[in-house]
Amino acid sequence: MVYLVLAFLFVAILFYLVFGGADFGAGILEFFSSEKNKKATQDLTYKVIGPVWEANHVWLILVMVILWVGFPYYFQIVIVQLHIPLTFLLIGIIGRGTSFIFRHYDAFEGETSQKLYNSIFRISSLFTPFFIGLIGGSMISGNLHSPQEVTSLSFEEAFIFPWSNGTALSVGVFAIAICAFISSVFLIGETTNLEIQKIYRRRSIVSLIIMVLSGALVFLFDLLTGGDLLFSYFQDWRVISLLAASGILLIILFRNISKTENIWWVRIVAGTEIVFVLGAWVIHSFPNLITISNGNANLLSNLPPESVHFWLGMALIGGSIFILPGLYHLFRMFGLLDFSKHK
Amino acid sequence: MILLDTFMAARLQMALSLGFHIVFACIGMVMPFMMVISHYKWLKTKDEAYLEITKAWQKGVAIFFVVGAVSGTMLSFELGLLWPGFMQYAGPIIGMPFSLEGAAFFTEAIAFGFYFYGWKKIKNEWFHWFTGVIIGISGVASGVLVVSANGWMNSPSGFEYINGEFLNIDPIGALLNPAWFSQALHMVLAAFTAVGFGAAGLHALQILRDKRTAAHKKAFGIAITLGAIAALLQPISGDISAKDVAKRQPVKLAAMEALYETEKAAPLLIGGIVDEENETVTTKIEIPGMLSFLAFGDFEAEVKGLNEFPKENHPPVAVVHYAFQIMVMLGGALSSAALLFLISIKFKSLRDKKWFWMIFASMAPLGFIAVEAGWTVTEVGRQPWIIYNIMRTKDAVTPIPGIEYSFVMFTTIYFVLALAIIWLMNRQFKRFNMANE
Repeated sequence: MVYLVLAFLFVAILFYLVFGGADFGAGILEFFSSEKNKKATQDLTYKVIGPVWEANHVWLILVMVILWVGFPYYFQIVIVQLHIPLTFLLIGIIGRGTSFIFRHYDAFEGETSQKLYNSIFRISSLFTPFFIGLIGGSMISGNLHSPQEVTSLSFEEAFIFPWSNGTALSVGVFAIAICAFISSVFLIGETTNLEIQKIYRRRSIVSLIIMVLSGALVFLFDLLTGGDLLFSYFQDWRVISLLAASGILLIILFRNISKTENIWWVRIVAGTEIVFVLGAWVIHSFPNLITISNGNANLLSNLPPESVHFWLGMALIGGSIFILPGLYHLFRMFGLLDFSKHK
Repeated sequence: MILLDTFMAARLQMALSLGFHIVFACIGMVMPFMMVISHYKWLKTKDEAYLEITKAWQKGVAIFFVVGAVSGTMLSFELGLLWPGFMQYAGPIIGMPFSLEGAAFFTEAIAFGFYFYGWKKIKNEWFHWFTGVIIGISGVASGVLVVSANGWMNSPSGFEYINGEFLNIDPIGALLNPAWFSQALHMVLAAFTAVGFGAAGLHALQILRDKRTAAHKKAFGIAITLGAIAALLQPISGDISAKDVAKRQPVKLAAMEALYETEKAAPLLIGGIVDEENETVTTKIEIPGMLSFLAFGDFEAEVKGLNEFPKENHPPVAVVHYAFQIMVMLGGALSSAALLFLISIKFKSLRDKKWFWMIFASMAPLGFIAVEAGWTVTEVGRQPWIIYNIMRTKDAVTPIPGIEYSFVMFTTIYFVLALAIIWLMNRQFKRFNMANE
């Protein structure tokens, strides 16, 4: 049963990354757009993402709940030592959610108020995925400690250093780039305005480049601080083949994004790319998803009793029976699964 | 920042977050029902006013829903951020309510998407209406599940606690802990009372100001009906809760009534100023034997006083006692107003009187104050325990210093958000009143 729960965990992380990421990305694109295009992106965002945005973010809650119920030892490491970035993440979530709704449901379209909502929305769209990435990066940077050690450490060692390092920061930037990438690739197909399409195509390429560069930085920083992340990735043939495949997809993406008419082809390749990168990380690290100062934290050790995973699994299966068909119809109804769009 | 240590700051931040979230959680549970009742009336009568009310309430629901969602997300993080010691052990045990709540919240978010964006897209208008009903049902389900988790903190069950270890964990037993039903019932009725009277009060205020009176009267009618039914049922639920607390948490009951010495035929206090130092209560009215009757159904029954329990296990008495008094008093006021509304169904002329609307307008905040007071009773009344009789709150707090800064920061954020929402709601009313009758 623990593997079923793990499957739900990884699927939830993936879905949050893709759906939530597309959502964050829309705000990031707004942030980096010229004044004129901001409005176009904003309207498009609302039309496309409005109906599903709330559902997109429930994946995060799911990840949290699975971690704290099923893997409390792991949860403990993250929640205590990464208190500070998690707090910033929360501020980002509050700012983003409220400003998104306020800017749409305010009864009057006041100029100043809209300006305020917009800037909060855009800044927090950038801010939030950065901290998500930073938190993810902290888990691989090797500066976290086992819960037993925390009390004997200084404030900086326990609560600052785990996340204030090059590796973690690079993953933060990487996360922003992924979100912008997913969103811009997605939005290409959602507008018929060729001028706007062109902008999204360009943005897809730029964010893809940043993705690759920041990804490389992750390994570089790790090397500089004496880590062996890079080499360890090339020790398992499954990881190597996934990385090779993602390299090929990358080339396909670079060649096709700027001109292809078949947007679903690009979307699927882009999605697969994300799955491969995430998959390489999972296969490479599993079950030691967190690197701590004196070794690895094994996800499968210190588990709660079997009954906990059994009932958690049951709740997840039961919930899926309700949720997945509903989610599917929601996406379909608002044209997000419309395969006939080839623009 | 010398005034607060991490422990106190963590408690205050948690209290603030809960106190903030509960307002929006209540609205999120009840307002969708108001919205779909109005929607139903529109579909049935084709009276444009109902459509307008539905759409206006929908905007309210959207704004409140998102604030409820983000403050709820915040809370789910804070449980771990502030109380890692609690989550480490309790997380797996109370996994059921939280994972099911996740599912309910997910369902709610999906239904939200369908309803809000489906006005033109969904061909079958009754299906569209039904997605609105699902928002309400899943909202109430979420509320019940979260309260069940809180019930577990008051009446831990579903495990054996042996030598400081939690063994033989039974997540279903924890979900269906002895307190879940009485607490959930009380909370759901409280939410309907608070939101029903809250909304009715705001519409009554518009009626007093003679703005679009006909439409506001319709809105008032829907809101007050829900509020009044719940307010009239609440005393029954209160009785169930009182008997339950008397049995499970006698020390909490003693604090609620500021009863220091064990007594037979214990009196019920009305008012009363508590002197915690000298363990006395002054300026009070006593109803002889009533506490014994309410707690055990027998005027002669013995009620345990605080001094039966070791001092280190006492909750703060004064706060719990005052909060309890406030809750009961406001509950009484709301039930009386509910009766007044029932009478006005028979004697319609009452509704032409200005004082009628003034009463309801002034009742708008009372339900919410009662909810806050009630949560104060249950949460402060559980202290010094985070898991009753198992784990002390101070043993669960995070090791990170400086929570006082985070407390100040989140206080500011919540304060600004609250102001923003009041401002936005005011604009919604203005907008509604600008439209022609």
